[in-house]
Amino acid sequence: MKKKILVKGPVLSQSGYGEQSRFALRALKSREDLFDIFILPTAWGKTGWVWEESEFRQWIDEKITLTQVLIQRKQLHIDLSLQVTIPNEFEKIAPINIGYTAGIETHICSPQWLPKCNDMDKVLVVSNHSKTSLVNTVAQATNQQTGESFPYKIETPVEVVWENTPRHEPEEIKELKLTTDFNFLAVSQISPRKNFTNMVRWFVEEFIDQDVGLIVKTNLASNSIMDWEHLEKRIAALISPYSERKCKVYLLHGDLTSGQMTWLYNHDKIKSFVNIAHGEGFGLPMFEAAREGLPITTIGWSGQLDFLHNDGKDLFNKVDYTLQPIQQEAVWPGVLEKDAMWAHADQGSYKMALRKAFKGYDEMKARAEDLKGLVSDKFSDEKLYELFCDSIYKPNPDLVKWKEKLSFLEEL
Amino acid sequence: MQEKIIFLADLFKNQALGGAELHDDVVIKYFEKKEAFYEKINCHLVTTEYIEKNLDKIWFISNFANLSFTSIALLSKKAKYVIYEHDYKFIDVRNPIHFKDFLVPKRNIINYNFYRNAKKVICLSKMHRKIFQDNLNLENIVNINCSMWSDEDLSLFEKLQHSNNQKDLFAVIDSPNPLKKTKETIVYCENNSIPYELIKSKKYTEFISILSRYRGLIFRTNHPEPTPRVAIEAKMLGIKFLSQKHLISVAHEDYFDLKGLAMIECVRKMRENALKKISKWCNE
Repeated sequence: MKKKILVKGPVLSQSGYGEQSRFALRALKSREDLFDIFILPTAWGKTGWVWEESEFRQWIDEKITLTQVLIQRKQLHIDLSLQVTIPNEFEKIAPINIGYTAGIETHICSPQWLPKCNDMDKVLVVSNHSKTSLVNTVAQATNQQTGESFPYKIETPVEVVWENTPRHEPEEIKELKLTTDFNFLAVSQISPRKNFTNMVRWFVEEFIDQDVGLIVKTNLASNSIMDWEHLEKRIAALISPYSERKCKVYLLHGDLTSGQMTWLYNHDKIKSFVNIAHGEGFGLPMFEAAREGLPITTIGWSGQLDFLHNDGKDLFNKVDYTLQPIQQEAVWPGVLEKDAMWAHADQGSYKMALRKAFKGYDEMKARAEDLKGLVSDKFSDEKLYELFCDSIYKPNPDLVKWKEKLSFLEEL
Repeated sequence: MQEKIIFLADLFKNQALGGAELHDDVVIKYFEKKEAFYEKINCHLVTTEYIEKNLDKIWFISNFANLSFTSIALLSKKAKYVIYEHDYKFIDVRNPIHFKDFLVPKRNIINYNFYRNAKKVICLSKMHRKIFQDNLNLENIVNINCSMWSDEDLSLFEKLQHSNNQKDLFAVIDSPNPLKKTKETIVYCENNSIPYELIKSKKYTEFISILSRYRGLIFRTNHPEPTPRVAIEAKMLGIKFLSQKHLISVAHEDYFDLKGLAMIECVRKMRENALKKISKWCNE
């Protein structure tokens, strides 16, 4: 018996949650024998929209249209909902409600998330870090009738299902001309969490006298021309104090296809991927780079460890860090609370790690190739889709039998 | 002295012709006849002022999906009221079919205090009551045994006995309501080579006349029907009724094997008994 599932999330947005929503859809679509899929698209901040034409996109559009028609006719009766978003936005909209969240990049989540998670029948997360930060959060609640204080935490089951992106064959970016032979790549929005400024500034300081490049694929909020104009000024201001530098910072902005991203990860002059964000839910660009065998330089904390750490071994170039409270400018009530902590990369360690990546490339590359095999196997579509669909709905034989009994027609 | 009754519902017979509205109309007419009726009001028009002004009345609450949370809370705290239940408004999704044995997890239960504080929660059949009882475990849940029809409607069923225009086909209700599963019923008929025709009419008497011309009615549903009216209507017409036994509450009542005039007479008696019981529950 098929389950009617409503997927509510930013399925068309160019954002982390957009990728996560599309992963969920691809996984569910792999079992259309089990699921009747309906889609309610939401926006995600000021991010742009996906623009690539594909069969998958056409399928999403058809599902959205069908859902709208059924909603308008008041004929959409769903069995369960899958809500891809931050937990503040979870709501009960179906007999069974499942939240799918990237969680939070800090060591604990906002107390406001706890009752929202407890409204769900299940919460799915993208990494063990996301799970830990949710289940380790304990808030003090007060019984309104007795005034008694008691610890309040998530009671709803939380399961790690990860995510991935579809791989596309490399496609050249004709406009990208690299004049340096050894380049690092960073893929990151500019936000307090991403630690972007330090990532660039410390790179420039480390390679001030060397012909090494850093390619930053970035934006402030979207891939618009206005965004580009603001961004260019900001990056120029960031590196202007280092006018004598030999190293180069290449700025990549705008819409790139998945194939163009694959091309970047496999470019013969791009030798390492770098990320010193304070925390990642999962770290999709890092995952994609690891899947292509590009050596990774990053901190040993948060979501990326699920694919960078295997069998007791760290298969990446490690940057030391300390856990400290989040910066004042990152506080976002209801999401990033001021008492939460995340990782602060150590400046010296980061610079040494960059140097190590530069000097010890062959060793790094060999390790990255090992990681590539592990990632491709553990995070294959086949394995992740099966895990995801089983977490959403695995027919309970008793319930199936009971419903079959209910559906039997006879003369009464 | 008998207290006056305010009848509260999302919609009334002059606004919609669903089973609940037809049923409610019989009860309203009874209260009017007994001079116990004060007035009827749609749920969305009820205000806190209106409630405060009428706390001396008995509130007879039928479908209340459009009643505001504030009104529910106020009625629950201060008013004397009876809930006349037509479905499953104690469940957030109003349908217990999603849960094995119709046992609803606590997290899906809503309006608990509203049901608990009612003088009585009146269910429409034994099976309907059992589902409420199993989930809410309250002392104030009672039941009647059937939906209700006016004398005028019952006369129509009498006239339509042994209709001469009987078609050797089964009727399938053409409804856009997914709970009525028109599409699935068509598939069932086609897979089982059952000859059928879709029937519909916005006029109740016309619909019953059309139905009377068929050999039987095939009815599929997607929730445990508290009665449903159409099952009794088919029986009163003396035609076959094919459906899912475990979802048809009245199929579990003692009288359900009656048909034709015997069923009509039984329905008439049950109505009189039910109305007396309702009157008693209101004034307890």
